[in-house]
Amino acid sequence: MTAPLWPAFLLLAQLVALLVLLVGVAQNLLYVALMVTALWVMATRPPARRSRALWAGMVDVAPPLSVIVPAYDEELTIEDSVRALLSLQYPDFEVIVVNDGSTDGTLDRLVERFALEPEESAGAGPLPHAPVRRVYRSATNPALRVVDKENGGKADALNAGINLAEGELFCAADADSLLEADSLLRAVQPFVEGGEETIAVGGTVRVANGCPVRGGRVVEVRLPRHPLALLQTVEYMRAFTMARLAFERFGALFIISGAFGIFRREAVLEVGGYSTATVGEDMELVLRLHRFMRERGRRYEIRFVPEPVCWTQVPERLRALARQRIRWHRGALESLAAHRRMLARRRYGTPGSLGLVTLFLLDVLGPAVEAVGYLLMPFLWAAGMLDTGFLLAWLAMTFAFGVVVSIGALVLEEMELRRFPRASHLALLAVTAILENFGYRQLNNLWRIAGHLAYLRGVRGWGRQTRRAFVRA
Amino acid sequence: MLLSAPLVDALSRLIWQLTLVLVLAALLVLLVLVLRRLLEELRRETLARRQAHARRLLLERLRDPAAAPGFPDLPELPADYLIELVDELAQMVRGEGRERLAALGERLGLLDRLLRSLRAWRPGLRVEAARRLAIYRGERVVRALCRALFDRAPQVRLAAATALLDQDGLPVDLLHHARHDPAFSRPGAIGFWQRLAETRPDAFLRLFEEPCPVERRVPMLRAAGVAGLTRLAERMIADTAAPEPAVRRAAVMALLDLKHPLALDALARLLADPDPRLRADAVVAVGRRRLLALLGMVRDRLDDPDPAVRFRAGEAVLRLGQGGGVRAGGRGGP
Repeated sequence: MTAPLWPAFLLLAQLVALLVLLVGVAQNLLYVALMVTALWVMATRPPARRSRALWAGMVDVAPPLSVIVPAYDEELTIEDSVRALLSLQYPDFEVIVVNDGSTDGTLDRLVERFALEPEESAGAGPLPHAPVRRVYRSATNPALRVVDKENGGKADALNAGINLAEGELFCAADADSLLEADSLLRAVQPFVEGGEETIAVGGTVRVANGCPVRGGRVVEVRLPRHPLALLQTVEYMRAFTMARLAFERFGALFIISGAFGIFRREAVLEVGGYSTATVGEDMELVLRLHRFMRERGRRYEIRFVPEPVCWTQVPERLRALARQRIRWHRGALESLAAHRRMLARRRYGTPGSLGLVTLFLLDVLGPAVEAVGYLLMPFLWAAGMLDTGFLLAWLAMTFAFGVVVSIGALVLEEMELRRFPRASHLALLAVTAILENFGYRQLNNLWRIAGHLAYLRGVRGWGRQTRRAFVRA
Repeated sequence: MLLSAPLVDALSRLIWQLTLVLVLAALLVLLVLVLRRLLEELRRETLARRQAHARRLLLERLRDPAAAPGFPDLPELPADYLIELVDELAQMVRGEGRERLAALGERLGLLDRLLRSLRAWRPGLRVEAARRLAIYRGERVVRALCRALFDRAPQVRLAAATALLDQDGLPVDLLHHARHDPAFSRPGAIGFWQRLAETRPDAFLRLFEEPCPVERRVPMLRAAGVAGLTRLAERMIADTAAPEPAVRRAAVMALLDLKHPLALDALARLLADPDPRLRADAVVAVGRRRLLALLGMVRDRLDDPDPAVRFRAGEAVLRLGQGGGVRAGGRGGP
C-alpha cells in the first residue's frame, strides 16, 4: 500500500470499528428495552388461572377449533403426538393430520393405530394446494381426520388442513411436538376475551430433550443432558419469555412459532393462507396478517400468551442444528424481503417501525457487523491502533452484555413463570447462560451469515430433516 | 487517532464499566433466586404433606352431610395456598357447603387478605381477589367490590361486577356501571351478562330493553340465549333484522339456543344474508346442529358466489348425511 493511502485506510478501519461498537450498543439497548418491557408486562397482567378454573370458565364460550398437524416422515413420533392431541382439554375440537406425501410409514401407522377409514370430502377449499389423494376419519375417534396428499411442503399441507378445518379457529402444530393438556384452553382465552379483533395467538415452545414422555405427555420437566440442547434451552427461554412478550405489548409481534400457533380461520383465508414460497411460512403469515389489516385500517390483535406450552425436540447434532438455523435465517430474510415495504413506514405502525426495524438490526445487520468486529478489533488492538478501553467496551458489548440478557431472561422466568422445578436446574441454566456467549453465540452468528449467503444464492426448500423419538418414561 | 478522542474514550469506559456492574448485579439476583429455591425445596416435602392433609380434611367434611358445621383446625399453611384451596372447593359445591367454606375463610383471615389484595398494585391480583370474593358475604365485601367498580383496569371492574351478582341484593351502582362503562361492552363481558341473566333476569330484561351500542348488544344476546330467557324471544326476532351484521348473527344464534320455533326461519334468512361471513356462519350452524329442515337451502348455497360459503355448504351437506349431492373436484379434491 502506498504511503498516502495508509492514513486513509487507518481512518476507515477506525470508523468501521466505531460503527461496530455503536451497532453493538444499539442491539444491547434494544435487548434491555425488551427485558424491561417483558418484566412490566409480566408484572401487570392477570395471573394465569388453574386448568380446572379455566375449563369451568371456557367450556361454554370456547369456539370450535381444528388442530392441523402437517406430517412428513414422522413415523417415529406421529402416534404419540396424535394421542396427545386427541386427549387435549378443550370442549369442541378436531385433529386434522395432513400426511404431506411421506416416504416412510407415517400413513400406515396412522391407519393401523387409529382405525382410519376413507371418507367423502367436501371438495376443493378456498386455498390452493397439492392434490389430495384421500381423506380418512378414525373409526375409534371421529374427531381425528387424516388427509393424505402429495408432497408440497409444510405451508402447502397447512393450507390443505385449513381448507378442511371445521373450527372457527385453527391451531397449527408440528407433528414432532407435544402440546400440554391445557394449552389450547389457555391460548384460546384471548380469542374469547378479545372477540373477532383477535386474529392470532402464539404460545411458548420449550425444549423436550431429556424430559420423560408418557402417553404423549411430558411427565416431568428435566433439563437436557446434551450440551447443545441445553444451550438451546436458554435460547428458547430468552426468545419466548422476553422478546415475544415485549413485542406483543407494542402490537409488533411478528413471529408465532410454526410449532404452536392459533389463528382465526377467516382472517387467514382472507390473506390467502400460508405462502409456499418461503421456508419461514409462520413468520411470513403473521407479517402478511399485519400488512393486510393495516392497509385496510382494520382493528386487530395478534397476541402472545406465555402459559400454553408446546414441547419440541431440538437437534443434538451440530450439523442438524446448523441446517435448522440456516433455514430459519433464510426464512426470516425471505419474509423480510417479501414485506420490505412495511419497513419503517408509518402506515404499518409498530409492526413496521419497531418489529421489522428490530429484525433488520438484529438479524440482517447484526451478524455481519459482529463478524466484522471479530476480525477487525483484535487486529487493530494488536497493531496499536485501538485503545484498551475501546477494546474492553467492544468485549463488554459482545460477550458480557449477552450474559446480562440471558440471566435477565432467566430471572424473569423464575420470578413470574417458575417452570423449572429444581434449584439445580436454575444453577445449571445460569452457567449455560454465561457459557453460551463464548463459542455458541459465535457459531450462531456464523450460521446466520451462512443463511444470508444461502438467501442471496437463491436456495429454496427445507433440505433434509432428522427425526428423533421422545424419551419414554 | 479517531478512537482516542476524549468523547470516544469516555464512552468506551462508561460502556465496559456499566456492563460489568450489570453482569455482577444480574449474577447476584440470580444467586438470591437459586438460594430461595433451595430453601423452598428443603421445606417442600413437609409443605406437600400438610397441603394434602388439609385438602383431605376439607373434602371429607364437605362430602359428609351429617358432619358438624364448621371445619376442624387445619395444619399451618401459607395463606396463598389456603385461598386457592378454598376457591377450588367453592367451585365444586353450592349452598350450605359454600357458606361453610366462606366461614372458614373468614376464620382463617383469608377474607381480610383478599380485601387487601383488591387494592394491590398488580391488576392480575386485583382480578383474582375480586373473583374469589364472590363466595363471601357481608357489608365489607359489598363495599370493597363496589369500590372496585371504579378500578382503572376493565378486567377488575368486570370481575368485581360479576362477584357482586353473588351477593344478596343488587347495588344500584352496578346497573349504572353496566349501562355506561365500556368494559361491559367487551366480548369478555359475556360472563357477567350471562350471570346477570341467570341470577337477576328482571334487571337483565330491563337493560336489554334499553337502546345500547352494538358491542354490548352482542354479548347480551348471546348471554340471553345461553341463559334460556325465552321472554326475550320477540326482541331477538326483531334483532335478526338489525342493520349490524354482528347483531343479526348473535340474535339468530340466541334464538337457536332457545330452540325457538321461529329460529329456523331466522336462520333461513341468515342463509340469504348479503354478508358472506354471515351466510358461512349460518351454513355451519345448520350442519353442526343437524337442522335437516334447512338442507334444501344449504344445498342452494353450494352455488354461492363466495368460495368460503360454497365450501362450508359442502361440509354442512356432508354432516347432514346427504353427501351424494357433492362431487369433489379440482385441486385439493380427493
